[in-house]
Parts: sequence; structure tokens; C-alpha cells
Amino acid sequence: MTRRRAAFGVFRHVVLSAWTLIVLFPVAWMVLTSFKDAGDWVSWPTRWFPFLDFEPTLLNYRQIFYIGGTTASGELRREASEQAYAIWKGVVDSGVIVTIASLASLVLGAALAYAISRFRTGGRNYPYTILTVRMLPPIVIAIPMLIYYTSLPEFFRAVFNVRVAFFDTYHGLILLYIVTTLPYVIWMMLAFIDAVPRELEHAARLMGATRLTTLRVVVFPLVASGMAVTLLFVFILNWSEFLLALTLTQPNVLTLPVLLNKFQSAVEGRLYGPQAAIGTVVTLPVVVFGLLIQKHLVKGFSFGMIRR
Amino acid sequence: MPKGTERRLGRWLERESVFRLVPLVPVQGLILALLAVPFVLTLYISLLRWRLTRGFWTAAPFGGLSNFADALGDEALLNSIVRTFVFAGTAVALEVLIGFGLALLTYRSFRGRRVYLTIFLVPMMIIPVVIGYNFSMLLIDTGPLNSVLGLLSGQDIRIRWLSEYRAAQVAVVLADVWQWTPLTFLILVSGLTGLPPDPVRAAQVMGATRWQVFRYVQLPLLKPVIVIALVVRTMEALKIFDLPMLLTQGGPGNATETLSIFLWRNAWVFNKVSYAAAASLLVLVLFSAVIFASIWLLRRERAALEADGPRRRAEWSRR
Amino acid sequence: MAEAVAKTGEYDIFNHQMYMLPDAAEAGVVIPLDEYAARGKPSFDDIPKTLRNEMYYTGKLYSFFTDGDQTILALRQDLIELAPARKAFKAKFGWEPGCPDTWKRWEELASFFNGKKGQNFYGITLDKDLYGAQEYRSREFGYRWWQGRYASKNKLMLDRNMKPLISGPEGIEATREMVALTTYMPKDIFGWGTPQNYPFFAQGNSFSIVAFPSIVGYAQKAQGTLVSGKVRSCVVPGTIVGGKLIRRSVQPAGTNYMVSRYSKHPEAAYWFLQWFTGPEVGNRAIADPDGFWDPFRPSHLRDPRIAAKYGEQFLHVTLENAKIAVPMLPLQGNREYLDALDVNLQEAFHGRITPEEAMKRTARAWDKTTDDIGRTRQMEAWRHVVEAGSYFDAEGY
Repeated sequence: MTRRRAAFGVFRHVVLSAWTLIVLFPVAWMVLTSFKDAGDWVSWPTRWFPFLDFEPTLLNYRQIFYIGGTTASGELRREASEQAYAIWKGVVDSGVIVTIASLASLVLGAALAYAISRFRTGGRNYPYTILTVRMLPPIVIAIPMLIYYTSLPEFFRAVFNVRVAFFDTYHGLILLYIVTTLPYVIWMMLAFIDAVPRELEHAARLMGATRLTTLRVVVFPLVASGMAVTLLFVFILNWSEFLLALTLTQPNVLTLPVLLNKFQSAVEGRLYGPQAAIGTVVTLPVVVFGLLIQKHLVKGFSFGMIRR
Repeated sequence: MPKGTERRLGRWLERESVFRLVPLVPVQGLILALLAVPFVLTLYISLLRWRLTRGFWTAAPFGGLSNFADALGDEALLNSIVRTFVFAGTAVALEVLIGFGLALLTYRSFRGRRVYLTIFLVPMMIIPVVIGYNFSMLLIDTGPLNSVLGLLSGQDIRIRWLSEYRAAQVAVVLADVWQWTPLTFLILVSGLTGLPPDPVRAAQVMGATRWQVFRYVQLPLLKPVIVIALVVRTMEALKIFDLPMLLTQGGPGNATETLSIFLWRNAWVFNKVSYAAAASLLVLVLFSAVIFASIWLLRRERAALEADGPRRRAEWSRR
Repeated sequence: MAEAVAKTGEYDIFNHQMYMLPDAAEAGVVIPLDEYAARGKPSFDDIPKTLRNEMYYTGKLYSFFTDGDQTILALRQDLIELAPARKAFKAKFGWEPGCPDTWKRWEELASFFNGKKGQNFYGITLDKDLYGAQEYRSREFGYRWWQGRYASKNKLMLDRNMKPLISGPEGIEATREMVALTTYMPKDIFGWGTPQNYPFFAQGNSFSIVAFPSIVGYAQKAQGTLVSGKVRSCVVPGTIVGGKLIRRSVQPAGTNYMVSRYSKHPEAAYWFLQWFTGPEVGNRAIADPDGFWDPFRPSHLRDPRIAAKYGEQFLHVTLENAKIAVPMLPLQGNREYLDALDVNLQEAFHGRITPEEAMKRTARAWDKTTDDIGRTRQMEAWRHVVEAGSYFDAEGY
């Protein structure tokens, strides 16, 4: 028995290590590329090892973190077309939009999930029908969305006599990101809230707490880890979103995926080095957050589809 | 706010009939305000004969159902639909299988589990645009991936991942699998971790083998989780755009032109907005088959779960 | 084109690829500049005729041209200069190896100047595989190069009624040539864009490449180049039609500047562009050591800054290529026409259909597009293109 268990342990580590290598290979390549100069990005033969095959450089990182745009001396660029190194703008825009959208979506979705769980709000089928929102491919509504967003200001001016823009604004994208991630928030939160015994709420209510207080003091703290998990998932989805941002912003708002896609140069085509450097830099915080809530992640991701 | 009003508002909110609707109203409002109008616009535009190069949409001539007729006869559209379904089907199947396998090996605690878990989740946290660029370096026929495969197999491997029809299709699927297996893995690990220990223990006491425990106890309990993993990933995979766009621009030929790329080209490159709208509506009709199938599956599983509800709650209160 | 819907007025000026002009003009996103130009009198005189035409659509001035991005052929001079190789080549093909006159001769060069790793190539040992030729073949690229070849057969792509002529013998021949040449290319080239093609050549893996003119500067000074000082620029090859050699380069990208209809200051935008793209500033941009605009005006030859950056030999050649450049089908919906060409060429390159079939399918698709856009409107625009001489005196109208 113990020998079989030991054998299983070895087998487990072999398989998991194999997958680890598969996962890490492209990631390592990205990190490696971020330390390469232009001629080493794509090369014959492949340049694998720093110092042996190629001279590692911090040029890419210096380029993307350079504050203030173009350098007059050209020291930090390989050619003039590389001037648009507004990574800070991309980070800030993406950060603001994604954070607000994810949090708002979480609060709205969690509240609705509570209502669904406790009062069957929206009827039995509501959680299912709302999934259709997520199934809509964004390209299907991209152009109508563009028309809609650009004609909304006229509507607001005519009806409310206020000037609001939606196209190329933070809130325009935020609203859309809230809606497109709500279905997942509702599903995930529904699972967590369903698992909270009602007796606790009844007790709180008996002691005179209002419904809102009960929600705030009893329910939400109990599902806090679930909320963190949901937040991470929704954050990742929004953080990666490309098509809608590409269609509905420009030139004032610039999210990271759109910015990354712009990293092309007239001479070299794609600027793999700076792209890899940005990729490395912006992935790290997400990974760290994931690591911090890992314990909850591996428990809370079953969308409530488990008999407890 | 005067105290009286506040109290009255508070009391109004306390009523169950009100409170239960409070979160629903903003959510439904947002969905209607944001998606209903564009959807109706899509319907309307699909009936026009409008190209971006032909004035503003309000002035475009009416074309009736001609766009739909064109779309139904468009081989490129039909091919891209089939292709998208094949890509999504293969990718999701692989993702669930691999994710399940990995989950089975990691859901119990052992030395190094934390490290594996951390690493396994990394791919889905990287922005797809970066992954696209990254893979376009890795996949050159003399590039890193083939070098490694060559090293492992001891042969000179020259798979043309970016330039050969079949290989490019495989490459797109594999890139998707690489990026999204973490999600199915996470869902399934989560499901396995959450399984109640009692039925397993009971089966073991009755002398069931490891396989029997898995096959007759764990797997049935886990079915709903597998279903949700399938549904979530299928919904996302059918929209695949970034990866094939960045890797191959839909090429070689049209080998990796997915539905989203097709629609993108027609709308933004060819400026055939009305046509793209009509095509997307047809696609939506087709998708609704998938949507309904998913919903039916989900409902069935949830219903089975909910039948268990009272027992579950009883257990909770016992703890 | 999003601005056609959004109408934000956030932009005064659009900087786009040259071939975007017809769609932008038809969509009404950009405005004709003739009125301003009548007062501003910008100097276009020394811009070669066909490039100048690219600033116009249906006879109206819409854009300023800044970047002569016409194709060029680059060869490995060091290999050509190997004396035994020259001798053997001459014995085999009957001409001194050098810049080829015709596409056929380029193929002869490619068939000769290649070898396997470790092979002794007329006195030098190849330290890696050497391929004979490189040319863009991937989706979104291959069709651009095709147009230069086709134009050198001195045939228009469409007749006066917008009936496609590409399925004729000239179109089939151009396709066949491109298919034949791939024998000497790395197999993976069907998936490569600039980020793969440029370093491949610069790292000494191939003998020749037809690419954007920046390839020469890249091979000269890019980080990691192994062919610095070994590359010779050539005028793109041509075809002998009726005893006359006709060479045509193509303008596969290149940037231009247009003024937005929704600009709040269209006139200011115009004056800025005239100054910005005029000989003074434009030349400075082209001369900028880090700049990416490519030379196109003959006066660029006299500018010592530009000469210093590019070297005389390259400059002469690229200006010669500028004189023979053809546009990428400057018609409304050109990207739809060319996408059909692209897909069918891909099928032919991969040997899935014959060149005849590829051209026939393309022609069918083009007819459909023309009918959908409106034949009379397209005929009118095409007449302007042909009459302005954008395809020189090509036949078939």
C-alpha cells in the first residue's frame, strides 16, 4: 500500500512537472524576450541563454517606463516611429476602468445574487437568461454600440439638456464592462450566498437589524472570500478585453490590450521586446493577487455546482 | 434628508416586495439601456444597404432581406462558422480533459501543491494580445517550440505552425488550450475540493477500489461542475478573436479565420456594416442552439442540486 | 474608419496607409484640399507621377504623401562577387550575375545562389542553410507583391466597365511566377510578416529579398545584422512585353496625411500638412537617423543629409523604383477586392488550386463586389485612375 502510494506520488510529480514546463515555457520566453534587443527577438538560430547567446539589455524596460514620451536624443528608441510609449497612460486607464467596472459589477451582481437566492427575484429562470448576455459575441454589437454611444450625447442634450459623452470615455467602457461581466458575478456569488445558512440572517433580523445591515454585517462578510475570487475572475476578463476597447475608444482612452497592439514599428513590424516587457510587468500584480487568495480560489470556483 | 423621509425610505426598503427588487432594477436597467438599443440597431442596420463608404447610416437605402440572402449563400461565412465550432469544440474538450486530469492530481494536499497551483493559473492572467505576439515568435518553424520538440524526439522537427493550413489550425487551438486550461482546472479543482467527504469514505469502507470510488461516487457528484466548466468555456471559445488574429491574421488562406475575424473583416475592413450585421444575426440564431443547450444542461444539473437543498441546509445547521 | 460613424471631431488629421484614401474619401471622413492648395501652391512637381496620383481621388486632392514605400530588391553582393560563382553562373545562364532585369532572371539567381549548411559554395563554407529568395507570401501581404508583378505585364487589372482582366494570361503568369519562386524560399515564409522576414535576411539566411525599402537600412545597421556592407539595392525586376522591358514596383503600404471633415480647423490642418510634408520638413524627417519615412523625391538625392543616411547606391535605386511604382488598386472597397485576391493567391501558393482557378475565382469575387458597391460609380473612379496614368500606359482599358 505504502509503496503504491509512493509510486503514485512520483507519478503525480512527473505529470504535474510536465505540465508546469508546458505552462512556463511561453512565460519564460516572454520574460527572456523582454531582456532582448531587437536583433535577438526572432533569430536564426534561436537565442536561448542570456550572456551566452545574447547580451541581455534593460532597454525595453527603460523604454516602457520612460516618463514623458519621446526623447530628443533618440537614446531610448530604435527609430522615430517608436515614440508612442505612453505605457503609463495605458496602465492608468486600464487600471481605473477595470477596477471600477469589476467592483461595480461585483457589488451589483452580489446584491442581485442575494435577492435571487433569498427571494427568487426575477423568477426561476433569471440566472439562465442572463447568461445570454455573456454569449453575445462582442463583435456583433461593436458597430451598433459605436453608433449608439456616439448618438447618445445628442439624445441627452435634447432631452435633459446636459452634455455627456460615452464614446471614448472611462464611463462608457466601464458601463459596458459591468454589463458583460455581470452574468459571471451573479453565478459565482449565487453559489457563495446559497451556502450561507439563513438562520444567521434570521437571528440578526430578530435582533432588529434592517435588511441592509444584515446584508452588510452578516452576509457579505461570510462570503468575503468568495467575493475576492469573483473579483479576480472578473478583473481578468476585463483586463484582457480587446475588441470593445478597440472599437469604443480612441484617442483619449487607451487600455493596455489596445496599447499593446499598437506596438508596431514601421521598420521592424512588431516590437516584441517592449511588448514582452509590458506583458511581464502587467502580469505580475495579477499573479500576486491570485497567489494571495489562492486558498479561496481553489475552493470557490465551482459556480455552486456541487452538493455539499 | 429630513429624518422623517429617511425613516420612511428605510421602512419602504424593509418591505420584502421592495427589497427583493432593489438590485434587480439597476441590473436590468443597465442591460436594457446598454444592450437593447444596440441590438435593435443591429436589426435595423441589417435591413439596410449600408457600407461605411456610403454616407451615414440614417441615409442608407433600405435593402430588405437581401443581406440575409447573401449571408446564407456566403461560403466564407459558413466555413468560418464550421471552423469556429470545430476550434471551440476541440479546444474546450482538451481544456476540460486536461483540466480534469490535473485537478484530480492536485486537489488533495501534498508537498509542492501550492507551487503547482500558482504556476498553473498564470496563463489565464496574461493579456491575450501578449500571448498572441509571444506565440508568433515561438511558432516559427525553426523557432523555440520546434527546437524543443526536436530535442525531445531526437529528430529535426519542422512543423510549420504559422504557415501550413492544418498546423496553423492546430496552433490556434493549442494556444487557446494553453491559455484557458487554467480556468477549467480551477473550476474542477474547486469542485473536487468541495466534494463532501462522507460518500467517498462510505464507499471506501464498503471496499470500493480507487477506480470505483472515482467512477461511481466522485464523478456523478462532480458532473454539474464539469457541465459549468464546459458551458463557461464554450461561451468564451466561440468568440475567439485575438489569438488567431495576432498569430496568422486568419491565414494561411482562410484556415484560421474564425467567425469573429470574419465579422470584423466585413465590418471594419470591407466597410460592409449592414452585411456584417445580417451575418451576425444569423450567427446569433445559430448560437442560440448552443445557448439553449447549455441552459438546458445547467438547469438540469441545478435542479438535481436543489432537490438536495433541504438536506444540505440541514447539514449546515448541524455544523 | 470608426470616425465615419463616431464623428467626434477629435482629429484634425488622419495619418493612414495610402490605399485607405478611396474609402475615406467616399465615406466623407476626409475633405478635398484643392481650394486650399490653389492658394498654398504646394510643390509636388518633383514627386514621381504615379505617387503624386495617389494623393488624389476622382481628380481631387485629398492627401499629402510623405513616405515612398515602394518595393525594392536587395541582393547579397558578397555572394555575387565570388569569382568562381560568377563564372559558373555565367556558364549556366549566359549573363553576368548582378541586379536582374526580369523576374525570370531573379528566379535564375535564386536557383543558383543557395545551398545547404556545411556545403562548400564556390570557395566559402556555408555556416547555415542559404535560401535563394525571400518575398512576402503570408496572408495580408502576398497580394501586395503580386500587384507589382502583374503591372509589369503591362496590363490593367480592370477594363473600362470594371470587368476584371486579372484572370487573363498575364494574371495567371504572375501567379505562376510567384508560386515557382517559392521553391527557393524558406517553407515557413507563408506565415511571415516583417518581424520574421527582415531579421531572416539580415542574419544572412538568404540571398535576395523583395521588400519595403527599409530592408536595406535594416540589413546595414540593425542590431544583430550579419550582412552589413554586403547588400546591394536593385531596381525591381520586370517583364519583357513586346520586346520592351517593363519594370514595376508596388507601393504596398506607405503613409499619407488627410484632413478630417470633422476637424474644427481644417484650414490650419491643411497649412500644417503643407509645411510638414513639404520638401523642407519632409526631407528632414526622411534624413532623421531614426526616421522611418522613405525617400521618394528626386531632390532627395541632392540632400546631403539623406545621402549620408542611406548611401548613394540605395538612394538612386529607390528613387528609380519610385518612378515605376504602381498603387494598390486605388478604388473604393479596394481592401475587399484585394482580400479576395489574397485568399485565392494563398490557395494557389499552397498548391491547393491552380493559378488559373485562383484568378478565375478572384475575378468572380471582384465582379460581385463591383455590383454591390455600384458599377457606374466605380467605373468613374477607375477612369480617373487610368487617365491619370497611375498604371502608366498599361493595356486593357
